[in-house]
Amino acid sequence: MRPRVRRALGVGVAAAVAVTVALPATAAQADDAVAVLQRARTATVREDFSGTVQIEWLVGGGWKSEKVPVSATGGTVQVGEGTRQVEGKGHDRWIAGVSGWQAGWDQPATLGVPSPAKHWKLSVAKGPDVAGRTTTVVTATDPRTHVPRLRESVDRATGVLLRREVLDRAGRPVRAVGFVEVQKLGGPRSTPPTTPARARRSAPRAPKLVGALPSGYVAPRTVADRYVLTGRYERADGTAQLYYTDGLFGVSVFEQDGDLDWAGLPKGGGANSVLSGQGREYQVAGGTVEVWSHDGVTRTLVSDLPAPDLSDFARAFDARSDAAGGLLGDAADFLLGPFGWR
Amino acid sequence: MTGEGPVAYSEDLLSAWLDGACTDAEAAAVEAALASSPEARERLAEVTSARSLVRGLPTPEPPPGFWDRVVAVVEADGASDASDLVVADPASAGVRLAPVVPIGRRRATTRWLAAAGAAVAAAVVAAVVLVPQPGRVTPPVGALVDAHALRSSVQSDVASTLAPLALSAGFHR
Repeated sequence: MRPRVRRALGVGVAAAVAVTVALPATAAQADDAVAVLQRARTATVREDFSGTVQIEWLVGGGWKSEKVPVSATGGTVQVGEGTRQVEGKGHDRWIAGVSGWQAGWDQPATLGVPSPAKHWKLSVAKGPDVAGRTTTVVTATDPRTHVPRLRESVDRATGVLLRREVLDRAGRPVRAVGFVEVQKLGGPRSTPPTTPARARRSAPRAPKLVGALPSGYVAPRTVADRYVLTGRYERADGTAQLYYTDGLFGVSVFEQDGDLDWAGLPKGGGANSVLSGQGREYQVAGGTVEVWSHDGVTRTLVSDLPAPDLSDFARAFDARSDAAGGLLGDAADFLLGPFGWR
Repeated sequence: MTGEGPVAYSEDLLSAWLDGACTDAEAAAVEAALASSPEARERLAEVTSARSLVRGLPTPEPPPGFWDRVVAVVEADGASDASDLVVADPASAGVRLAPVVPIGRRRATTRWLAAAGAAVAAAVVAAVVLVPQPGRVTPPVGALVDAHALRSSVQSDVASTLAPLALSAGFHR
């Protein structure tokens, strides 16, 4: 065998070995990351904690922030205080107000959520200390641009999510929710509070899971080839709510029959061109909001996705409904029985 | 900042504050009151709740034949006083027309035409200003943001997704 051929064979074998070793390592990283994220999402069922969470969001180049007390006791999470308080246990949510507790949500999540590793490159590393706690950080990177878009810092000892940071397409933070103070985390569990029992006595006005939406609404199963429909609901005021997720980011689509009454929208926000019509966009503590009308239906999107990504979702949603041939085509999408894709 | 002086808090400012329509000084007064006064926070919750209810009301549409009756009245009154411009059954119509300034009874034909023109103009103004446009909807944006947080919290970390719901301010918090 000639030396040149031997050299080429050697390089080829080395490359094959490198790929063989690297691919499982990458897959193992993703598996580890998914496990860390999954553990964090169920941590409030396992762990008691209390502290202060700070919400930060970018508006017009400036940061806004608010702090909220939070606690988890015996599987019940309490957020806020006084007449601005929210409580959750299992899939039930209650909201305190001046007239007492009201049911805010009582529907279980029955549909499969796509794995976060399906559309994101996930990695795990030692994270920064958050509120004095040692963390593991999971970073989700866009595989097309190699730009990190989300960081979740998880308490190394208990698995509780301590900070979630959303990054824009340049990898810069635009929104974050995280503990700034931890008073208690882990340790012996306490007896849960009794407020949910009181809440059950109030008239429920929580949205209801529906198998089909009223005529005129569309509910594509997938949007932009990545966001999967995981729930269709009807609110007490007749508004339809669709919930989509790609495993890391959730998007709610609210649909109302009729064109948008611009004068009734909250002041502020900014103009945003969505498909053929003008939309309005807001950045608030609860996320990015897009409002626009299309074909006689007014749609409101809410998500913690950055604005450009949510606009892409909006355009894809409109295109998906148009491409489906209007209502007839989409009827097949929402006249479904139980569905459990993953 | 506008350089204006301090403003005393009053409940009248809450609605403007929720709309983001306060001046910097007014907003500061409201936020200080909310931070220190449970009563102010309760009042804010009441105002927020009331606004959500009002915005959630269905948009009334004029009953069938409403505009035909308006036109008929206008045409009929072309030979009488324009101040007679009323809807046959305003209560059932669910709307109120803007008052029309009486025009003195004149015999000259040109005066009648002027009166009829004024009446038609008033009807148009009433249609535009007083009657909600059919098929228009106003999303209760603040409530929808909250609804998204509630749904998200079922499949995500509960504490971080519910946190925005507990803020003591309004939509522009």
